[in-house]
Amino acid sequence: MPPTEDHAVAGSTRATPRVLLAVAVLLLVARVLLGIFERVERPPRPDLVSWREPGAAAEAEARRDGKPLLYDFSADWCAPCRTMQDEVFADSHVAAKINASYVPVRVVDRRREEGRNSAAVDALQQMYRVQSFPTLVVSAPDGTRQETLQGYRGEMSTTQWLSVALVKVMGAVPRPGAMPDPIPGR
Amino acid sequence: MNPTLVFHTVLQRAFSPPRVLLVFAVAAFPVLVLSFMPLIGLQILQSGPILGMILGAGLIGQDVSSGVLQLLFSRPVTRAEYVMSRWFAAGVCAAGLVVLEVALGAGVMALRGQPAPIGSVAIFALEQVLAAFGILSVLALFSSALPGIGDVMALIILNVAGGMLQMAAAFMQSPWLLRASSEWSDFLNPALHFQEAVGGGVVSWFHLISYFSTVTLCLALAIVTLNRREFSYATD
Repeated sequence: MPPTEDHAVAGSTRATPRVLLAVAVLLLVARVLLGIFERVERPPRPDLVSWREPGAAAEAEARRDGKPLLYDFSADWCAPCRTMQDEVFADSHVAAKINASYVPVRVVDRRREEGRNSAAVDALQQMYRVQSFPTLVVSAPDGTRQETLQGYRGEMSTTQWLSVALVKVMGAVPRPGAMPDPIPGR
Repeated sequence: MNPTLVFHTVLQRAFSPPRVLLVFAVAAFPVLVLSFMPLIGLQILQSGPILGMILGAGLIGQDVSSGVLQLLFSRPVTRAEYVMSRWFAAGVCAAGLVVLEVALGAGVMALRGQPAPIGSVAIFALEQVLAAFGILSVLALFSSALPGIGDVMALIILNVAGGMLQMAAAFMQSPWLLRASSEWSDFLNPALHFQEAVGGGVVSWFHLISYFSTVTLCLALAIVTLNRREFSYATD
């Protein structure tokens, strides 16, 4: 049963935390307003990853440099893909790590806009059994080992997966210098 | 904050055998993995929220179920004091463990020839400590209304529901639903990522405020909820 007014006041243990409540309400209002403001006003952050076009050139570069390929399967209409770009690929630390450790290749689906994809895009989607967007695939330079991540599960989860996938695909000890920033760093 | 309550909560949390076992497993395993694969980096040591969950399980509900609160509130201790002391004490325990784990991880990486800059290690540890305090505030809210370790169950169920909402958002390609699921998840797992909050020299006040908003709101609601409850042996 809820307490009566008398219980709540008369020197009892039920003192209302007025200051804490006021601060909580104030912060909640600020949170909502800032959320709206940042969504409306904040310009989209630029993608800092040096994406290559899908094709033989990227694969040759991966073999030559001994780096794994990072495929980002996405589409222009895909909202989670845009969120991932804004939160992960626009982050300078993550982008630097990706550019240093991988040969990044963006594979954009154009079926909805143009009715069909290029042969290279279709071939890659079939090869890696891409069912939805975004899908990230890390593939060894020789294509023998692959790791796949379907969907966008937030920045922390994605960056952690990128680190783990690199180690899994390249073995416990990748070539020296492939990952200059072993720090958490996102 | 009541020093006696803080002290005894620390003792209660730090010397509970099941908690010690779980904490050891959660904290030691990633360090072990890191010793074999140092290139993974400190990211694998993201144990702050899990340690917070283990040390905060039944933060208030267990005292309700065991009948401790009925006795405690016959003393001149306010419910606000009780909630804040329990939250702070569990947070201190989690913080100590997080710092120890990160220090061990950084040490292992250095021994394996992959030293991490001290500044990055400190920021990472601080993020984990804040995540632990964050999840403890959410647990305090649930625990003020649920008996035993119902708070952890509620947190798990709501996180699963959030994941399903996120999947639905991805399936429907709905930006608003995606945002809602992201807010849902952020509320249940409050954390402050400094890179995200101060990325590229631009401070995201939204990220900073969101964390403190969740923590203060949860603690305030926990106290209000506890204030509304009756504790007497007759009600059991």
